[in-house]
Amino acid sequence: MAKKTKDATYNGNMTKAQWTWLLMKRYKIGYFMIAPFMILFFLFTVIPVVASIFVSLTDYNMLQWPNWVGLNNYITLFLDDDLFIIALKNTLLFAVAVGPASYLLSFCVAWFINELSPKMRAFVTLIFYAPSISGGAYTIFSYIFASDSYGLVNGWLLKFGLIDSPILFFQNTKWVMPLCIAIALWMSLGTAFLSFIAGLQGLDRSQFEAAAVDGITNRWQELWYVTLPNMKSQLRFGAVMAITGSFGFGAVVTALAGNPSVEYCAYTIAHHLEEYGGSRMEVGYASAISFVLFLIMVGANMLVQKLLAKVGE
Amino acid sequence: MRNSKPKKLTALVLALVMLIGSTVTVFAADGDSGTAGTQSGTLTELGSDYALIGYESYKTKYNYSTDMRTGEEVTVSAVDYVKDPEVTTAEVEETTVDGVDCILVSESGSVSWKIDIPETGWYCVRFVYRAANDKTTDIERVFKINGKAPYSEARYQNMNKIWYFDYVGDPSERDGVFEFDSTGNELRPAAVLSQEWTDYSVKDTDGYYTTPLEFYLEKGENTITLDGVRDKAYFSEVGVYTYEELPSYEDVLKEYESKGYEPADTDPIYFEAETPDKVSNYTIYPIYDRSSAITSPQDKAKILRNTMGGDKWVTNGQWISYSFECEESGLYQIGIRFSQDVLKGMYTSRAVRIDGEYPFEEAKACQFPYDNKWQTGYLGDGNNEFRFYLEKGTHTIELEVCLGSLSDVVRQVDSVVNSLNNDYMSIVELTGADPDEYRDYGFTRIMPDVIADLGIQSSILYQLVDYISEINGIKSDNTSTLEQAAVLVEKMSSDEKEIAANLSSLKEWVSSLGTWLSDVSTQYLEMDYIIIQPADSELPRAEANGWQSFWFEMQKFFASFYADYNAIGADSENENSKTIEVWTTSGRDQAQIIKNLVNNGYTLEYNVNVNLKLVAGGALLPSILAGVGPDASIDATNPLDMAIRGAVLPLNDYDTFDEVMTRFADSAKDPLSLYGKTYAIPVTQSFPVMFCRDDILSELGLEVPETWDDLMSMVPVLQFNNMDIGMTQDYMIFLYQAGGEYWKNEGMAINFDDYTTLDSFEYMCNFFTQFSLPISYSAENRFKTGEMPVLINSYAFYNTLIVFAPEISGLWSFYEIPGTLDKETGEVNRTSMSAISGIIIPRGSNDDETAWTFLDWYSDKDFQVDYSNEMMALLGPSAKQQVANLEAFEELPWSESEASTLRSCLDHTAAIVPYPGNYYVGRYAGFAFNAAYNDKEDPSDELLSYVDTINKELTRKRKEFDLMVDDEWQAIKDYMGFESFNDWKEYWAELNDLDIDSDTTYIQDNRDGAKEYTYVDWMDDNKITVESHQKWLNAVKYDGETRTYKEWVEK
Repeated sequence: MAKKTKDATYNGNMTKAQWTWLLMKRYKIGYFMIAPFMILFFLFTVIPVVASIFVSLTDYNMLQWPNWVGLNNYITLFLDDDLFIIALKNTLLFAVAVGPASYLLSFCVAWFINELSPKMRAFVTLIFYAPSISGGAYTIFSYIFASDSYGLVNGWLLKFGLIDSPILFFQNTKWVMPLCIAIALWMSLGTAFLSFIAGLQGLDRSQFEAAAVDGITNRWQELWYVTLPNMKSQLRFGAVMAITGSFGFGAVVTALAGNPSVEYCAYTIAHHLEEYGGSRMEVGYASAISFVLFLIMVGANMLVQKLLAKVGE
Repeated sequence: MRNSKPKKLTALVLALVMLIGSTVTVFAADGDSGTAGTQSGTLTELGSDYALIGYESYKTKYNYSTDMRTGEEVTVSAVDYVKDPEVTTAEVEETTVDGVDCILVSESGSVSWKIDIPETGWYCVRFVYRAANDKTTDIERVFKINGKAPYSEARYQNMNKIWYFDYVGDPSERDGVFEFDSTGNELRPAAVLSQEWTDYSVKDTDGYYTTPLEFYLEKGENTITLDGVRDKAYFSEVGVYTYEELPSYEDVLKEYESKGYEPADTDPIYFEAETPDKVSNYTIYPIYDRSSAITSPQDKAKILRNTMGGDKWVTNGQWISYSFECEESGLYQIGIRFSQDVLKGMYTSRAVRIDGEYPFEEAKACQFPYDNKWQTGYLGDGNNEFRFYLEKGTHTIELEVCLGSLSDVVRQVDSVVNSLNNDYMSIVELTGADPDEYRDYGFTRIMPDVIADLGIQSSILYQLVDYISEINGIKSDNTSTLEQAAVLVEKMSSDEKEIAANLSSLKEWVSSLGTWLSDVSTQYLEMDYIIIQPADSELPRAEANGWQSFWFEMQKFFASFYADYNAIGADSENENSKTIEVWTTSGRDQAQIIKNLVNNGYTLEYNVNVNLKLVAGGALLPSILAGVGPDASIDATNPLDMAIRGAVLPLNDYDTFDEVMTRFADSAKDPLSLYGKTYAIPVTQSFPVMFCRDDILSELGLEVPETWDDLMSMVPVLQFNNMDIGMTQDYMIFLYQAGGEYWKNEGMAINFDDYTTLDSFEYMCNFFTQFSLPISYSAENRFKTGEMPVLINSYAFYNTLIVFAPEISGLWSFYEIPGTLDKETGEVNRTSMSAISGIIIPRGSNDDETAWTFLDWYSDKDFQVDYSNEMMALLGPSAKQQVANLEAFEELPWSESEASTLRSCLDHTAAIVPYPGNYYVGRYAGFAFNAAYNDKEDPSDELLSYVDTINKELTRKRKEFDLMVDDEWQAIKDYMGFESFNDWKEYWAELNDLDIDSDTTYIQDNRDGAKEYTYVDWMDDNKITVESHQKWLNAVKYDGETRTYKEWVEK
């Protein structure tokens, strides 16, 4: 390592490109090793993302050669698409309700679990992580909240005489959104949660001792001044996961309440995207939707990262 | 000693039943099917059928004793039937077949014979019949004596047709018996109907009784009647005879000894099981086993037909017969290499006939024990390995599926299930399905009979458990079902406080018992070969040794690198043959069956290979768009969605199109056609029917409803008895029955702002909002338990019920859905909405002409019937297909009354044409319904509030596909003064000299790759582009002169 760095000496006559090339040649093994991932990443992630920005400016429908329509798709989206506004409203409502809550929940549970003995910790981690790892586990709620009078919840409510006819939980505008939010929270202890545990595990114990010497008096101060600043990278990662998770929410609603849900009461941007991209094949328009969603996510992320920067100050 | 246990058991049960007297109603369970009552037959009449007594009660009633067998025999020629047209309602034709005078009797109606009985006593009844056609279904009749079915077991009679195989080679050789495809895989041999006279004794088709049924006939004239259920047949003789007990095996052995028979001194007689002489059902045919190295013949890579039976030979009464040559007279034992890895911890049974006769009583129940490996064994009953004396010469051996010594057990469990079902219903009538366990209902006071009956049933179950454990030596999971049910029922009968708390468990256990029944009645046996050896010889080994297995598996493994198992039937040697690719989204079983049939049919006929691929549901459209689609796709659910995007070829121009379309009902074509072009050929067509629990309705004194108003008036009665109706939310049924329209102007707008529509919608909503019928429910469960004795569901639900609820078979039927009474004409309109799936040719097919021949072949009667039969052979009677092909429908094994119900439904089906944007309509209708139900809003208001939204979307969609939109039509209408859209179409067609039905297409058709989108294709030379169309419309609007497009172009 030290030898290589010494070799990469800067010759004053070199242009920046030549210098880069020299470095690349020198570290070719590294580039070679990263190549498989980078090629796939570019091919299947970067290029499609960029392409979709261009597609969003056309009327591409998968059948005919696309026509350039400029910003028409965006204009329609914001000015002449009632459903998009509903979807936007639902998505924001959802993100605000679920995003921060799931983030805090993940952290608190991770913090709590961290205090347990190693065996117990593994076991409890599994319990909390299980809902999100076992893909379609949330469909169990369609049985718990079945509209049948023999459905679990309806059965009990009827039995105790609280209702006189079964509630159609997933076909009733009053119930769909709250239920979906609750279920999303139940599932929210996902990858972010695991990374928090890893972060907490990786803390240097000596820092706590040093902090104690420096005058930390309680666990809250310890958390704020030692624990959190030490795991900022995990916090950032968790934030990204929480944001993408809550803004891209939709699959759970589709599985439980159908797409579209009754009177679009839990219709999110993800659904709107699915409807235009999937069923209607208006790919140009769908790209515009996805680009807007992308911008919202990026914006939210920037905001959150700014907030996270203040941690420990 | 033999059978003493079941006899004791039966005696005990009888004694108990008699003690309680007539309080226990025994319901009849007949066959595997619910019967579709005719609409005219009242339930009160039907009710008398359910009250039919069982065989045991019949015997008791007429003091059965074997001394009453008179030894007399009477035979009447079938030609001497009762000629009175009031008695014999069937069409009867006198004729001579093979020199035998006989009559040909039609499928429906009845035929009767008078028989003079010389002496009062117990007789069996026999018929000599012959198949009249090679339809693959059995001949079914209802048997009656003196105008009435004497008891439930004798009611339905199944007379099978006999089939033989058309082998290519000599069946006694190992090789070359079956035809090969080009890759060397052996093909299924064709089954041919064997025309022969068959002697048939009236018997219990469920196999609960192994002897022919006996009837008490009084001296003098008696009438024997056969009511047609399915298929016509020839009859030559009708007769009665006296049953003679067969000797026991012990007696036969003594006889052998006294006659000095010795084991024969000769080589074993060996023959392969896959080359039988005859089989009793079309669906029994040579199959293959690739699991064992020594199954003969076996190959590492190729599929050789090497076994017989398996899951195709499991139903009572199905038999396979072989003939063989015996070189030397003497005593033989009959060994079979077989596999029975299905009925765990128990055995399956076969009845064995040598030269058409049972040699001794025990031969009726040869046992084949369970093992997960192949076994060899001599025919025997578990105690003895039977010896048979065979004379030198040719013999036949028949193996018939039977329940063997389990028949008593199965019969009694069946009756327990019926009794428990009745007890459950009686309790539910008092308490409702969800009783309060803390309330004192006073069961012992109100229904002492029911409580006593529970006690009887549990003691019967306990004894059955003991009996099974004794004959099998172990308690398996099969007995534990019975035991646990017994414990529960006992608990409920001994302590009435337990009844309410355990009612739902009782329901579950009754259905477990039903499942147990159908499991145990499935008598699986797969045979590899039969070896008839001189008595006391060693049997060949049953399984390959370790080295053989290892070597075989290794060979198989390496063969898997070069053998293409997917390309069954690929005819690679023939250079001229073509290959098409066909996709299906059905299950693996279905795909395998299609593959085999294609292989044995289409490929041979057309010399075209078919590469059948199983794909995921959503794969089709993207693949077509990417240009890598198949040549044809089966199971396309919404072809017009793809057609509108130009992804599917229109089929009208293929040469046999018109002929192909005559195979279907008109309503089957509607959802597959748009603006005169058809884009798919129908395959399945399903529609709702009304399922009724006849037993419950007749008990409540209700009739099968004729109209929706009748149905509505039933609701209070049912709800009073804690029951409900399974209602449909498909308001389009009501709309069409009221003569309403769904679309305006061929899909330009929705017709929701119309009184008929709003009324229909509101009427449907009322069932749920005012009568509180449940919206979501488990249909099969509630129908089974009787909580929902009337249920509207697709007729595919029949299949579910057959499997899911065997314990209520015979207690339900299905009818046409209720109709709407037209107040002016007094007629009832029974239109129902059908759902169609079809087969398509995607755009981009490499060889659409060849693909069309596949469509033609696939939708034809022969394939559809074969496919349906195969599915039923594989999955049982629950696999009846909802074929769209009308001729194929006639050949499916529906009973005549079921078929006539379905036929009448088919006559009344309608279907929505899914114009672009259709999916939006259903969505908002759903919203309106939910608002009405959840928030008690007014259904009509809700529906009306969505009209604009829906129309906006329709317009949007139509613009996308360059179709005329509502605004444009309004402009034309206002300017040119047409009354209706149709007027304009006619005017336009006349103006341009076009056929209004076939030459109209509004949708883009760039089949030739043209980049021009035609709005109206009526003028081939003068295609109107979207742009010029708009200009013309503007011209029509603003300049007063231009009337037609032609004039405008000229200007």
